[in-house]
Amino acid sequence: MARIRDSAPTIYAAATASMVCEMPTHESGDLLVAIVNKDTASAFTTPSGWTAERTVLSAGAAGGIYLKRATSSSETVTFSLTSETCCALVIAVEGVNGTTVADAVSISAAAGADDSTLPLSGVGVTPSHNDCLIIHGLSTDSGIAPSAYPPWVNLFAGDTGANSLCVSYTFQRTAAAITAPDHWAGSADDARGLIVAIRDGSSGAKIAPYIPLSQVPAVLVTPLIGSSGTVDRGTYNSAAGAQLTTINGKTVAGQTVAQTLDSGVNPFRGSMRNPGASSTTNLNHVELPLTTAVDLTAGEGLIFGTYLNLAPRDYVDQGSPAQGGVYVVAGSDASNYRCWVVGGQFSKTERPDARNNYLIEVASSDTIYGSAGSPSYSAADFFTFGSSGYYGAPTILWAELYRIGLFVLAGGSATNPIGFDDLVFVVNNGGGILPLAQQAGALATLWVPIRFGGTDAINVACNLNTFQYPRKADEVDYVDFHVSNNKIGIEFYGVGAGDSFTFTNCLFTSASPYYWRFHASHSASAPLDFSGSSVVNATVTLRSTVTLASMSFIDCPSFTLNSAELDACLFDNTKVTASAPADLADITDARFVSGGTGHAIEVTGTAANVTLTGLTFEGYAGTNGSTGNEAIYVNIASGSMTISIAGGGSTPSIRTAGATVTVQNAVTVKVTAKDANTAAAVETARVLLYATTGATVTITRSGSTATVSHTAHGYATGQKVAIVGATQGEYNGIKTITVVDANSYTYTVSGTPATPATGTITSHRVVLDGNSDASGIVQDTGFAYTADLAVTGRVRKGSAAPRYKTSPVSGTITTSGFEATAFLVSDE
Amino acid sequence: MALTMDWATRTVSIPQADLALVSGTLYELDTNAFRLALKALEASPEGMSFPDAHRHNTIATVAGVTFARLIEIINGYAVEFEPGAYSVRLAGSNNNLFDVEAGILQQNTVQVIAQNSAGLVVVTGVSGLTPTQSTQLAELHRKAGLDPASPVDITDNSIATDDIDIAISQPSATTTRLTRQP
Repeated sequence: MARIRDSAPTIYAAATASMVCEMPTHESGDLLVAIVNKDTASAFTTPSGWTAERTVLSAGAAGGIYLKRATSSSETVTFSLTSETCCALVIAVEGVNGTTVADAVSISAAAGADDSTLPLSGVGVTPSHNDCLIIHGLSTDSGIAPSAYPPWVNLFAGDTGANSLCVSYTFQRTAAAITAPDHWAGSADDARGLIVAIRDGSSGAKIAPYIPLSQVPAVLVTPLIGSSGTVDRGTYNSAAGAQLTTINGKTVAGQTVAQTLDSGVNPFRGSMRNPGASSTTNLNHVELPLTTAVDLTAGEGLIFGTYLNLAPRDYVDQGSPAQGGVYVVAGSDASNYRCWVVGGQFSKTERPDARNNYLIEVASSDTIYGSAGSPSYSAADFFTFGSSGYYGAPTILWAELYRIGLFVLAGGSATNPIGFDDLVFVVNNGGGILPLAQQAGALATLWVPIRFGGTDAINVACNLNTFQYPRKADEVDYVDFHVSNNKIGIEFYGVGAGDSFTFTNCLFTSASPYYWRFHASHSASAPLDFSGSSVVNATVTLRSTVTLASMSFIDCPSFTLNSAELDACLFDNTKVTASAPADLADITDARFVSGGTGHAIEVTGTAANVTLTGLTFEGYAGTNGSTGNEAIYVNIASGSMTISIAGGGSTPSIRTAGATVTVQNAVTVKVTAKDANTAAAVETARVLLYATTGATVTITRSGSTATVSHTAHGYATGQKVAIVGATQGEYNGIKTITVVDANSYTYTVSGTPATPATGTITSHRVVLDGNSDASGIVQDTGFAYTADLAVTGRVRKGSAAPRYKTSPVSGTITTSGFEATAFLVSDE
Repeated sequence: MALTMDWATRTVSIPQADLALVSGTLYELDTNAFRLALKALEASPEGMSFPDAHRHNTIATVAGVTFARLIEIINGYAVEFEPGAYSVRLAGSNNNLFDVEAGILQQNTVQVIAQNSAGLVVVTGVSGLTPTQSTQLAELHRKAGLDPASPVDITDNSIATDDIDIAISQPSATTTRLTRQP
C-alpha cells in the first residue's frame, strides 16, 4: 500500500487572494494530495501542473482534492482565490502505483448534496483495487472544526473561523465498498465530502498505521462543547433546575453551563465550562441529561474525558479529592448514579496548567466518591461535571466524553514496520481526537486497551520505548484512573507470517496491574523479538506459540506460561504458573529472584519428570518446606516426579501439595590429573571417585550372579558401585550393576565364594571411573545432585611411562558440583 | 611380566617364565620389572578399587653414589612364586618380597634368595661387584650358614646347602680338599 510520508496544514484565517500552501516533505514520484476548503461557494482554480481530482461546492463553501506526481522534492502549490478565508492540507504519499496521477487513483468521489445535520456525512467509494490508501476530506461552511468518527484517522480537523476542513484516512486491504465516514463538529452547517482511493505501488511494503474499518475503538458520547441541544446531544439543566442535590452527603448546587471557544482537545472547538462556586460545604456542577441514552457497557465499558482549568489559578480554588475535588457523575438519572472524583487540588494526578485525562470503568464501584440507586449503564443519559470550590470558585473546562473500546492496530510491513510515533499518532487520532497515548519523548502513557493485529496484518518495531498505564485511583493522591486492575492492557495477536512484533529494549509498566498477553489464536509464524524488554507489574499470559528471549518480568502478579518458550529471561518477584511439569522445560537459562515472599514457579497438573535447564533461584527458601517462599511449588497432590537440574542451574527448594518430588541437580564432577613437578596434564591416568559413605548391604550368590539387597538404592542399570567389606574378596571391587527393583540389583562375580557373603559389606556409589583425556580430565557433566555427597577416590597411572604414584582425591559434591586436581608424583 | 593378582586374597602370582635363568635351578627376578607390572595391575579397572599393593622409592643418586631402589609390598598383599624346584634371586632393589615372617612371601618349594643390603648401590663402570661376583658372594653367604633359609649340612665328606654341594676328601695325610660338585 501507499503510505503517507508527511502532511502539512495551511490556514488563512484572514481573507486572501492567494493561498500559498505549506508543503510536506516529499520526493520525486510521490503523489501530492492537496485537500482544500474556502469560505465561498465558488470553485477553486486548479493550479498549473495539478489535476482537480474532485471538487465540491456547498451552500457557503468550496472544497476540492487536487493531485500531482512530484517531479522533485521541492514542489510548491498556490491556489488563486478571489479573497476568502481558506485552509488546506497537502499530503505526500509514497509508494504509489505508476508514474501518473491516473496511475495513482483507484477511484474518487465527491458528495452530491449538502449535509447540514450532525453527524456530518462524508462520501464513500468502492475502490477497484486492493491495498488502497483512502483519504477523505470534509469541506464545510462556518468554523465548526469537524473531526471524523473512529476508526478513521484524523490528519487535520480545523477551521479558519468561517469555514472548516477535516481530512482523515484509512486503509482497505481488499477492495469493497467503503461507507462514508461521519463527522462531529462544533455546530452544524453545510458540508460535503471528497474521497480518493490511492493505489499501492510498493507491493505492500509501505503501509501506514491504521485501525481497520471493522473495528470501533471509541464512540462519542458527547463532545461537551457547551452547546445545549444537538451538538452536545442533550440539554443542560439550568442552575435552578439541577436534579441532583446531594453527593456523598454533600449538598450540590447547580450551575448554568457556559462555553469557552477554541479551548477543546481539538483547539478549533469549544469546551463546556462550569463557572464553579466557592463553598467549603457544597459541591457544584453542570448537569447534562442526554437526549438519547447511550450504552456505556458496550466496548470495554469505559468512558474517557478531559478537563482543563480555565486558568492555572483555578486549580488553587479546588477542594482536595476528599472534599470533592473535580468530579464526574454518570448514571441513568439523578437518583441512580455513581460519582467519581477525577481531580482535585493536592492530588498527584492533576496538572494545574494542562489538560487532564480521566478514564472511568462505569461497572466498577470500588473507587467511587458517592452513588445512589442502581444506575443502568446500558442506558445512561445523566451526566454531571462538577467541582468542590473549597478554596474559591474553580472554573473548569470539560471536553470530549467518549466510550472507549479496544484499539485494534494494523499497518506496517516487514521491511517498513510502524514505529513508536506511528502508534501514538494512530491511537490519538484514530479514536476521534483524544490524548489517549500521552507522549513524552520515548514514553507513552496509554489510556486505552490496545491489541496489535488480529484483524489486518501489523508489523511493528519499537526500540527503547516505554509504554505505561496510569495508577489506579486511590481517592487521595491518584484520582484519574478509575479502572479495575487488569481491565486494560496490551495484547499481541499475530495471525501469521505477515505479522511481526519487535519491541526491543522497551519497558511496559504501571503501578497498577494491567494485562500483557498474547491472543489465544496468536500464530507461531508471526516473528517476535522482545529482547531487552521489561514487563513490570503486568498480568502476563503467554501462549504455546510464543517464543521470547532475554526479557525481564518484574513484580508481575500473575504469569501464565501456557507452554510458551522462554530463554534467558529474568523473573524478579514474578511467579510463573505452569499447568504441567513438562511446561517447565520450556523455560531455559532463566534467573528467578525472590521478592521476599512467594514462589518462583507453581506447577499444577499431573506429576511427571522434568528437566530444568539453566534456571537459577535467588532469595527463595533454602530448604524444602511450606513457608510459601520455596522456589518451586508443586501444587500436585499425588504421584511422584523428579526435577532434574541441568545446564548449570541451581537447586530449587520445593513445596509440594502431596506429590513426592525429587530434585536432582546435574552438576559437573571433575578430576584433573596433573604432573606434580611440571603441572602438565597427565593423559590416560585412571581416576576412581566414589561415595565415601556406603550403604550397608547383604549379598547372596547364585552361580556367577551376586544379588545385592540395598534398600532404596536409587540406582540405574549400568551404573557402577564399589563393594567393599566382604570377607569373600570376590564380591569386592567396582561392579557394574543390573537393577532388579528399587531395593536390589545384581552383578557378576568370579569364582564361587561363599553365599551369603559375610563381613560388614557396604555399597558405594561410583561417581567417576575412567581414564583422563589429553587435558588430564575425567568428568561427569550431568551428575544428578540431590544432596551434598562426600566422595573419596584415587588417581593412578601405572600402565605405561611415565608412571606415577597413587594420588588420593576427596571432597564433597555440592550444588556447585565438584572439582579437584590430583597432582601426581613420578614413580619411575 | 605376566603377573596375576587374586584381588580376593590380595596375592600376586609370579610365573617361573618371568624369571631369568642364572644357572642350573637358579633364577633371578628383576624386581623393578616386577614393580612395574604390579603398578599396572593396581591401575587397572579391576585394581583401582583396592589399596596400593606396594610402596616404591626409586633409585637416588646422593653425592655421586646411586642408591638402589626400595620396593615394599604393603597393605596385606602377598607374593607367591610359581611352585617348583628352583631358587629365585631377587635382583635390582632392596625389597621385602622374601619376607615370610611378615606374610609377604607365600612360601612353597621355591627358594627365594634376598640380596638386600644397607649398602646396596647401583654400580656403573668398574667399581663394585659384577653379577658373577655377586653370585659368588651369595653362595659364600649361604655356605657359611648365614642364611636362615639355607641351612648347611656338614658331614665328614661333604658340605651341602641348596644347590651347593662340596665334597671333602683327604688326598694326603696332611691335606683336606674341598671340591664343589657340579
